[in-house]
Amino acid sequence: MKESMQSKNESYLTFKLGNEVFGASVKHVLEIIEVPRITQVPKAPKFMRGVVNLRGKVLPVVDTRVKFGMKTTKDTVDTCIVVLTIQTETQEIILGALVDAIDAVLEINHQDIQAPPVYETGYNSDLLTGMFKREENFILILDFRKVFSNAEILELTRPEETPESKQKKKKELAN
Amino acid sequence: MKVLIADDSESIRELVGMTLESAGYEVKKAADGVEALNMLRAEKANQIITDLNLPNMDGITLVKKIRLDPSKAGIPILLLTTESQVDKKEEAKKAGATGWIVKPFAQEKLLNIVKRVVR
Amino acid sequence: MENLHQIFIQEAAELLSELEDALLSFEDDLTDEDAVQGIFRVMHTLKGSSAMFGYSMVNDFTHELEFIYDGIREKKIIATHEILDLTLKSVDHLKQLINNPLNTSNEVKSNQKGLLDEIKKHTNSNANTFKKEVVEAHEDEKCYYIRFAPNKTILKHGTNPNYILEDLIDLGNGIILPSIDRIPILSELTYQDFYMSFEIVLVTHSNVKEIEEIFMFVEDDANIQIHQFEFDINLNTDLISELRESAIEQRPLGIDNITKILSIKDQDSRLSSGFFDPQNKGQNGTPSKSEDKQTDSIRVSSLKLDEMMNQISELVTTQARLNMLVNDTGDNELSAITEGMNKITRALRGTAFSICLIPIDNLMLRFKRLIRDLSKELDKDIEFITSGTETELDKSILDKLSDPLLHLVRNCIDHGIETKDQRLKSGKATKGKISLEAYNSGTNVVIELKDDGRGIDKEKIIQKALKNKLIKADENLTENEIYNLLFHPGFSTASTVTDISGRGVGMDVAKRGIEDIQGAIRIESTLGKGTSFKISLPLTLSIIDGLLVSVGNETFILPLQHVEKCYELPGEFLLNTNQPVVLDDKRMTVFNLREAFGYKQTQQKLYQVIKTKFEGSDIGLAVDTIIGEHQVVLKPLGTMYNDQQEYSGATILGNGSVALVFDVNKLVTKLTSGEYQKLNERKYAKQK
Repeated sequence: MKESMQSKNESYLTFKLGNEVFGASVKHVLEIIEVPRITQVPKAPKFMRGVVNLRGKVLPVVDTRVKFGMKTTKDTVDTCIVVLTIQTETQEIILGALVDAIDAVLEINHQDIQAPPVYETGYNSDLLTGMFKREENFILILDFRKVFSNAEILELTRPEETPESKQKKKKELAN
Repeated sequence: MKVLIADDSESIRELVGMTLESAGYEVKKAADGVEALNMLRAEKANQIITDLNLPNMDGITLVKKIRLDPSKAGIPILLLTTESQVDKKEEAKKAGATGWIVKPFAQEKLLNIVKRVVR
Repeated sequence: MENLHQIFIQEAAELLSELEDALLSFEDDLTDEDAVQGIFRVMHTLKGSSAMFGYSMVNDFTHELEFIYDGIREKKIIATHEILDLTLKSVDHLKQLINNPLNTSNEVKSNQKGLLDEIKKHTNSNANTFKKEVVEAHEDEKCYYIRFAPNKTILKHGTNPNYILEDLIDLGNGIILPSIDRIPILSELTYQDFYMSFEIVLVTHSNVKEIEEIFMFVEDDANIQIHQFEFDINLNTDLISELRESAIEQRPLGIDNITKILSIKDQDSRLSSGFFDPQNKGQNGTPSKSEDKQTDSIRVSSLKLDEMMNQISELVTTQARLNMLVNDTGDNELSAITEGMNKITRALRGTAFSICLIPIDNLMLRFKRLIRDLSKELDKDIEFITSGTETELDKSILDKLSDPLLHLVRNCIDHGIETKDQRLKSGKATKGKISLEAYNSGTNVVIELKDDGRGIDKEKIIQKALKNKLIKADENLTENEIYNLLFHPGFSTASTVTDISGRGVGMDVAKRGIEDIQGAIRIESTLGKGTSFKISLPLTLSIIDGLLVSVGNETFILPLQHVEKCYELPGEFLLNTNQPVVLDDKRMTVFNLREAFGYKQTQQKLYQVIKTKFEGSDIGLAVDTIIGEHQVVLKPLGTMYNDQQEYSGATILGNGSVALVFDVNKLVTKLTSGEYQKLNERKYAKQK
């Protein structure tokens, strides 16, 4: 009986964006690399950091913080790029997602993932597929495919914010 | 068991190849008579299937040339013909062909006829 | 099987193309026997393979069509232009059938019938009736006596008599009695000859036809007799041993003896009448002539080619990095080895690229047909000359070239070449000439389309452009600028809109199509004498000769084919993003890329300005520095940068960093439209 439940274990890569820890299934992850020299593409959307050389291939790099509508910060020595492969309806995209730090790879049992947070934490539950409690903290589980197959900025936080904070966010995005 | 198929139509070569390979034969393909002869020189075949109409050397000439070579005596040669060339069978036989297959043929039929002459 | 169908469809398309070509040249010389052979052979092949893959309409059709050409080569039918026309129409119909096999609409069917009726008129087609084999119904077990006496030479035909015996016995139950009566003395024995003969008593459900079928290939190589006993026989072990024993004493036993033995068990024995003699057919056919076309090529999936090109490109890039490192170490031996590797890599790349190149003549062929049909329709007499058809182009470029070129050719025929009367009046020969020439020029392929028609009337163009408000009345345009108006969307000097070339929609689409493959088009014309379109294309899209430049902190590549000249300009001349400047006595707009891209403005002492052409006029692009020429392997930026059309891609430089490659046309479009300006303004507004 217990054995069959164990088969629902999946590996999740956890990483940090700001103060939050996120997790996503490793099935999309090809590799993790340090940040090399990023070539910027002039006048590209803000959430596109630029392109890098990945062993002879040109890899577009997404600034994940910007994609989630978070404030941008300076890169540190822990900043790295998670190379992902995302299958859209028409093709397979390979891209790099810039994260502040890599945490760990966890074996999480399907059953231990709770429903995503709704109102309290202010996050958009459409993007989050769940929540996992690790010791004292919660890891927000998301689906890389949902996040990155869309070419727009996704609001990670709920629209139920105050008008002021919304305006502020909008300004930051336009820059 | 090696079979050589000579036909200028690629689709026919592929079809024959596929059919025979699925029955366990090893199939070599040639697009014309000259190529077929070259292949036979390089490698022995247990059976030869050739179309009547080939560029560079027609099927009947190919049969004659094969039969001229004593080392190839006794190798069954089958000709692919269309219904309207039924009268060519005689000529083919005289040239030394073993038998014939009429186009269009079902894969089943091809296998049966091949089995008839080589085992 | 899916894959086989694909192969058949591709093959059929090629065959039809080959057929069309053969027909067109046959039309020029109706006595050309080789052409007839070629035509016949293609039809025959198509007939055969279409039957194999279930394309019965194609099969039926080519079957009839083949008769005409069989008749022509047998000199029973005389080739006429009427027949040629009919055949070409038939080819069109066949193309339809192959491309839309599922379309069995009445339209298609009646078209087929109509053409077939026409065809049959020429062949007085004696309906070829083929004997359908009638299979007899199976009955209960029968007993047969079969005598199988192969000729001495049977082995020479590759027949193995054992197989025949095996097959016979497989039909039921039986016994084989071999006879060795024909074997000569040892000294006369030759191993190639076959001396045995056989008698077989067979009890089976099969009928005579089925037994005969086993002998189908050896009818002429053996003496075969099949005799059916009318009485029932139970071939038990007693009978068998009796037959065997008798056979020891006398071989062959002969049918009488065997009958006796078998019928002892049955007092009411009666011999059935007659033997079944496998029939002989005998008619000699004429051997088919051999063709002269040698095909020694293989089909390769383009996916595999792409994969190979990618790998080779990466090899080149990695090689460049290796070179840099080796140079730094200064190790002589290592240098020598890497130099050797460089040579090999370069050669490999050259070969790989040439694999992806296809000769242009395929494209040219399509035009031959178009010109023929169109000139007939418009009642113009046109000669089409091609040269340089062996010139090769990258397949992807060739694919995209066909539509634009087609349109230009249509235009030539429609607007360029005059009617026979008009030509006579201007003292020209009634036959107009259109020539298509292809040749290599440096790293480009040039395709020149010339006609000896009426030429372009500059005045008319200016008038039309004024009318459509494309230009202002006082504008002083160069000849080139006037001609380029033809490419402007919404422009057309044709007094009536013919549906052959359509409205002015065509020319601008053609130009864009050519620019999409990084090509350029230039018009030259003399009123009354003719017009020429010169299209220059890069050999390949994935390797670009470029100029490495820096703007701000980033390096970019500008494709050399767009670089006309470089100038130095002191910074004070370029205060605005978009500045008119005079260089070489010519006025042009210069764009300050640093400004446009929103990089921090440092007061640059000297700018490097690169002159390029955009829609006929001179444009300057100001960069910080020009680093040098660089050959780059173009890599895609990815769908996430789809909005950034001004970059055709990126490349990895020797030092491992990424440089963006400009698509100059699109870049200048964005610059002139002021898009960058708008984006910058928004940003500045925020910062206030």
